Amino acid sequence: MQLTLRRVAPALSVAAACLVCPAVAQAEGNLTGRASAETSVFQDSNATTVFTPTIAGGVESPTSGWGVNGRYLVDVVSAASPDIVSTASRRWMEVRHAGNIGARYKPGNTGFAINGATSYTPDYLSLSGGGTFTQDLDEKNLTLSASYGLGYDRIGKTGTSFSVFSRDFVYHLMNVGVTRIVNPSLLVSVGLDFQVERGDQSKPYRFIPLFTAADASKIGAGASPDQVANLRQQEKPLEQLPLARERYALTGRLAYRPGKATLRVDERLYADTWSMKSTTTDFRYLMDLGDRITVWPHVRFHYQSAVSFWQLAYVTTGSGDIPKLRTGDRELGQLVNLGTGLGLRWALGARGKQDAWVLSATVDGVYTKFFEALYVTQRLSVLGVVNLEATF
Amino acid sequence: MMPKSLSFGLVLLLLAVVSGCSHVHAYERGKLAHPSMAPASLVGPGEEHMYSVHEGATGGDTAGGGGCGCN
Repeated sequence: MQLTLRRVAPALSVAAACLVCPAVAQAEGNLTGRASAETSVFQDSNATTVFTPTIAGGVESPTSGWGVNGRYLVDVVSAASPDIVSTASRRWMEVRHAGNIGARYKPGNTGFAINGATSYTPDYLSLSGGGTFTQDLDEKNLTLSASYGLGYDRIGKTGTSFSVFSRDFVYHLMNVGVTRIVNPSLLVSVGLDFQVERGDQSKPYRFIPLFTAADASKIGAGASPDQVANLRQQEKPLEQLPLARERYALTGRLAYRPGKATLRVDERLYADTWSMKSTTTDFRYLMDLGDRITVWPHVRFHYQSAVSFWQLAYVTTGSGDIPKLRTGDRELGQLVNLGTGLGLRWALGARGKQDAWVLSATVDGVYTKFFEALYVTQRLSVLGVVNLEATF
Repeated sequence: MMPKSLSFGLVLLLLAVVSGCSHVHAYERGKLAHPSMAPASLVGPGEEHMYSVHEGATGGDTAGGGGCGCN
């Protein structure tokens, strides 16, 4: 243990130093330090607002092949969605703190990286860590990677300590990937993700309305909170999700740069043991306008089917007859997302060192169509991000 | 067990990746070294968080390195 601490301590010291004072890296000569500050604002048509300031930093040695990095962010969430209104609750506000640190070492063709992350709100604690192994082959024309991560979440209730009420949720993430240089302008990657989840991830605030069979047939997609309140049975149980889930994702990525512009296309196919299937396609076309400015349009499409236990209106015959599995999470239902956005990267550094200061900004909007959900049938979301990064 | 459609897709993609490639020398990698050609995702943390909330699916950061030929 002592030996481990001795080995780790210098890296941790450098990580801390790079976050506080990137100029340290400059003094070392062959080190590169980075520090960035980012602010994002999210707003959707369901009265949810999220304000997120983030700071990040890192230091690396391009010649020795090692690097460390860290990030800390705060989410300030304010919400008054129809789900909250339907429970006669008022707008609520919550603050989430999240951070992660990482270290990597790749002196030659073989590399290792480790990372750890945590996220905390008064009713939710999340801890995770993992490692990645990479191996370059064929003079770095082919790279193989394999990673494993372990996550532990503790789900509680606001105003109640974890010792009084909490549920544990554990997940394992495994990924294998291949990156291939096809020619001097084309790079292709393929990856397979496998995630195993165990534990009860049901939301302890999400109540599910139940209906008689006759009334359930009167409930249509987008039924209002008043309509649901008038037709539902008195009994209103909490959400209950299955206690196990296995998730698979196959992703392909293509980056093509024939001249002064780069086309990036990502495609993800997904399936899980809750019977959800989805396809996600992401396009970015990054165009250089001179040697300082890059702009890009962005389009993203996502379609998913509903989980097997999804129902618009859950039916009860009364006297404690409650569907064993039940959810009101619209993101587990059938939906389609169509997103579009614009991005800008502006290198502000002095001539010859343009990337010493980089300002970037993105605006993305997402339209969501919910095919079979209570309260809402569509949603419009907008996310704006501004980031300033300094390299020393 | 992994769904058959995903297994089939994986085999197809792997075949596509490893076939038809030319050997690219380090001095030919100027375009590959451009920031927009990074093998990893260009999605920032805020955008990534939005998608994780809006999409029931997960996964997708496929790449572990390569590209410009640097460390």
